[in-house]
Amino acid sequence: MRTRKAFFALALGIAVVVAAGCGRRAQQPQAHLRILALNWPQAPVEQRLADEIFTPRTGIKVTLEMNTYDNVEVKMKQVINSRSSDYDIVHYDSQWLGQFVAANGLERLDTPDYLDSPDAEISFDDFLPEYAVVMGKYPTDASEVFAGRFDRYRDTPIYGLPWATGCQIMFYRADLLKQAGFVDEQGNAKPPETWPEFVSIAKALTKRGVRYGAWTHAGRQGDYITQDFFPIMWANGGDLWDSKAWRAQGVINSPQNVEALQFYCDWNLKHHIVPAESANWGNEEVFNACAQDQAAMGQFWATFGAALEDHDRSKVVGKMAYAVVPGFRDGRTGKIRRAAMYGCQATAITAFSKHKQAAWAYIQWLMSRETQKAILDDPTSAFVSAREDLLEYTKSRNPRNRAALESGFLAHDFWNNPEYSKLLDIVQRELNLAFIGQKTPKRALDDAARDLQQVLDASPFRPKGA
Amino acid sequence: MARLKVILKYVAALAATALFAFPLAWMFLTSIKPRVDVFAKPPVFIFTPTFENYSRVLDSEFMLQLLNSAIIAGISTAFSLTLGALAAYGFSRYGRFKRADNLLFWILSLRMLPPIAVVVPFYILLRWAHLFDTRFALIMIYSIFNISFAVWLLKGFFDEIPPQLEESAMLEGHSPPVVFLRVALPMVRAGLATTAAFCLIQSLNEFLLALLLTDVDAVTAPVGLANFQKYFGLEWGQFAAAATIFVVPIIFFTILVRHHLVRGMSFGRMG
Amino acid sequence: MSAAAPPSAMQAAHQRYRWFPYALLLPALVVLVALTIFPLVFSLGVSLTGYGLGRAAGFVGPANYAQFLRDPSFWLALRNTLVITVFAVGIEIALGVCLALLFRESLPGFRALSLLIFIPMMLSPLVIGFFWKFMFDSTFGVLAYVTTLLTGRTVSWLTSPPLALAAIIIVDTWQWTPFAFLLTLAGLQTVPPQLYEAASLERASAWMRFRRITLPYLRFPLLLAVLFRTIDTVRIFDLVYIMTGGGPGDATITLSVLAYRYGFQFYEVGRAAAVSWLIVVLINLLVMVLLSFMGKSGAATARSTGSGRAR
Repeated sequence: MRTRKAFFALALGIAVVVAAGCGRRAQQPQAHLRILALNWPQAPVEQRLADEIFTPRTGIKVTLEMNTYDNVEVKMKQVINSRSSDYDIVHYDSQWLGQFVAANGLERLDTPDYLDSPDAEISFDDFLPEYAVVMGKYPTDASEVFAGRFDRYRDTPIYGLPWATGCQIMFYRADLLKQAGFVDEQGNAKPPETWPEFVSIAKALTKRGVRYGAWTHAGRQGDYITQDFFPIMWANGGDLWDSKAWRAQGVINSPQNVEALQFYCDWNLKHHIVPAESANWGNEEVFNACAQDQAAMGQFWATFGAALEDHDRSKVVGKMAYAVVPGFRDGRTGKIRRAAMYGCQATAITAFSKHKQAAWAYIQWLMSRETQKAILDDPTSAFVSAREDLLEYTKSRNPRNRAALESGFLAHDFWNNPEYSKLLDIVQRELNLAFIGQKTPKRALDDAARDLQQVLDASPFRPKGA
Repeated sequence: MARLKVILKYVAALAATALFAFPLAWMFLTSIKPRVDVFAKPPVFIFTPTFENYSRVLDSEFMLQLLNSAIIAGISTAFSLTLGALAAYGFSRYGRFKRADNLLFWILSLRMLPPIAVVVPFYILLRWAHLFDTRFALIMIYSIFNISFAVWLLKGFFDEIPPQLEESAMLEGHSPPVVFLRVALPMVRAGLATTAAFCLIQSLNEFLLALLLTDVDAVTAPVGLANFQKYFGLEWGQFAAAATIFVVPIIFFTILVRHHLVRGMSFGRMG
Repeated sequence: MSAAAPPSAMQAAHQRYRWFPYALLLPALVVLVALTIFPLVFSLGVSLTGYGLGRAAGFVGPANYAQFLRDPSFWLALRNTLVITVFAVGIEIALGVCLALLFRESLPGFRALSLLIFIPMMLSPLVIGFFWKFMFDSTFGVLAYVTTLLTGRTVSWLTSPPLALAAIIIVDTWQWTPFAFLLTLAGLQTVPPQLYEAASLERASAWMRFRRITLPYLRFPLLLAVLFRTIDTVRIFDLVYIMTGGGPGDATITLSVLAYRYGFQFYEVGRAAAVSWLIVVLINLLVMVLLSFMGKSGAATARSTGSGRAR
């Protein structure tokens, strides 16, 4: 009898202990907006301003969930896949637009509920078209947009509005260039105008055991090496794919691209102007290399420049300078053709949100001139606004913004179609193999073209007639 | 000659310890170094220590995440240990029925599925049961792996004990449950301690399921650690401080457990 | 079994407590079945469909599995996974046993030192991944600094396919040797000291002592160590993802990284589930091989050493 009681007690104890671990989700207050955001510097500023201004004004509480790049992508896909109302607003990276729209995850904004409403406080035309059209409208062809042909997309559906814009720009150590004699008439450091110039300067600056002349973020993960190489490829006149015919074969492995890839890989394999380890580098390692005086020049996101001026993190405070990326000189015309990597976030309302009107009120507030100016005024935000009426103001905040905005028309972007993730993975792999010398550039690009074409051909999203 | 042997043993032991423990030392150093010195080349060993990272971390939501981890791991381990010990004894002493081996193999196989395969169904299940982002959900899910481990490890320990003690106790008139509680269980103290240690460690450090099945309320420490990744990379100072804070209670528990381990073994063995 | 007690009393006792075995086994089994039935059935089912982001979830039967068996990345991932598992588990066990033999001495301070060895096992995989990635980096890392000093050339661990795989094996071994160490230590303490006394009387060599006396008592801890480490190492994910992302190229990709890629980058849940079940099949095969191997030799040793186990 005693033992049976003991067993009962044990069972009860287990039940109690298990129940103690129970924690039901607290009831949500009325209209509490949840935003899925990247943990970039403008996020804390956005949260602060929302708490200080938006919430008191409207009574709507706002929570920004700041996540790493990978996590935002994964969580958003999970939300779309399970049609959950976890997030009302998402700050998404431009190249995810295709996937999200194809899966019906985003709310269409050019409707009388939102942008077309007579009470709308903002308009699509408030924003610089080269950013707004690429980041917000789908389907579009980025190369057409960046060539200035926006009118083609006047009637294209709008799903998002440009939030934080940016391009990769050239970071360089003004002090080292000056020391080595690369100066202009006024005696200021003169950054390279062409990529071959870049290589010769980097060679001059490379001191074994002390510092490399340049860096790359040629890592296999994410979109690191593609971000690094594509601008060089585009500046050389090549392209990723033919977006009308959905063709990669013959396009990505064109002779110009092979030439460009050979040029890029030689930085590592022939000239040794970049650390060999950079084949595994991403943003963090490049930042550290730059901040720790281990490398002198390279492409990088404008946003990161702010942290380089922080004594707590950087040994090169005051020594960095910024410019638009170099290009290739066209043999016939003598003009320099440049291309910059585009990197922007847009904001949208998720299709399954239960607070769409509240979300729209928030977005109107966030995109307004007052709010964007307030974010720009906070030096920790490293923000570059896409509002046309703030263009000069944004440029004047710091030298990086100027370079970034001047790169606007040079920008190119990845494929923006639902197969983005697969296409990216293929190209990442092949470029990385070429960079470490495991494959010749021609072989790498041919293999990439073959695999890309397979994905494009098998895709259920392939448009008729392509 | 014997003297030399002892010295060699000490050298080997110190070398091994250094090899396995130096990252923790490095982690601690990183947590008190100024950020700019963390990646200095050549490495910086003389610097003015700063405890700012610790104060930042202690102030942040990481402490709440740590609490969540402790609760989830603790309850899951206790729960799994209980159920696992019962089942292990059952398989050991009454495991001569037909499907016993199959069942045991099936229990083991529950550990074989990579978390990636079960995230989506668990996500769906939890949302349907309104248990998404609750500690209870993680406790139960971790218990799957923990029970599986506990059953196998403890069954082995029970198998090692000669049944004579239990049989004589039963002959004296004690009921099987009492025999289990008073005779068998104390003899596998070492097994219980070892199992508890491993289950705790595994539950505390699990990442993928915690990341995708929680949101705000039930976020655990590993996910919290991952959030120290900023756009320019890891906040190494705070990350190191958080990691150090995280590992200290585990070390404490292991010290306690180690003590029990040795005592249990020498008590249990009759020879 | 002693026949001293009157059968009727024993039988009566057994009758009254007939529920006991069920009380022992059922709670765990019921909980496990309840928790796993839906995920198992779902994931098996979804692996037979084309379920994914924005895609129609049509039934495709074994097409997902067939596609992987034709995919060169799958075979590469399989090869890498097996290489990592065999080397890591092998070295962990060997090293763990050696360390346990070293540390079982009751020399002063050894107990405290042995505690420090458990540390790698207790650290979060994120901590270990980031730390070692940094260590192996030739620009920032101490390890690469040292190898460069020793060899005179810049050794780039994580960007050279064979070295990157070696790096992962090194880190995994480093992390889990304490596991084998702990289990072996527990096993060593079950050896009755009288056997050693008898052996020293017979002037047996250290190796003979180890083989004949110690090893049989280590059978069980080592079996457990090999079993669980194999199961866990085949599923290795965090370390690879953080240190190399599967690179350079796909040189260090493992089956779990492949599943993650399909599941969370491409969001093709059906295909990810298919890879996961292929992982399960692989682990099952390995475990069955291990169990039969250990089972056979275990039984043989028990017979030959006679007094080996008190049963």
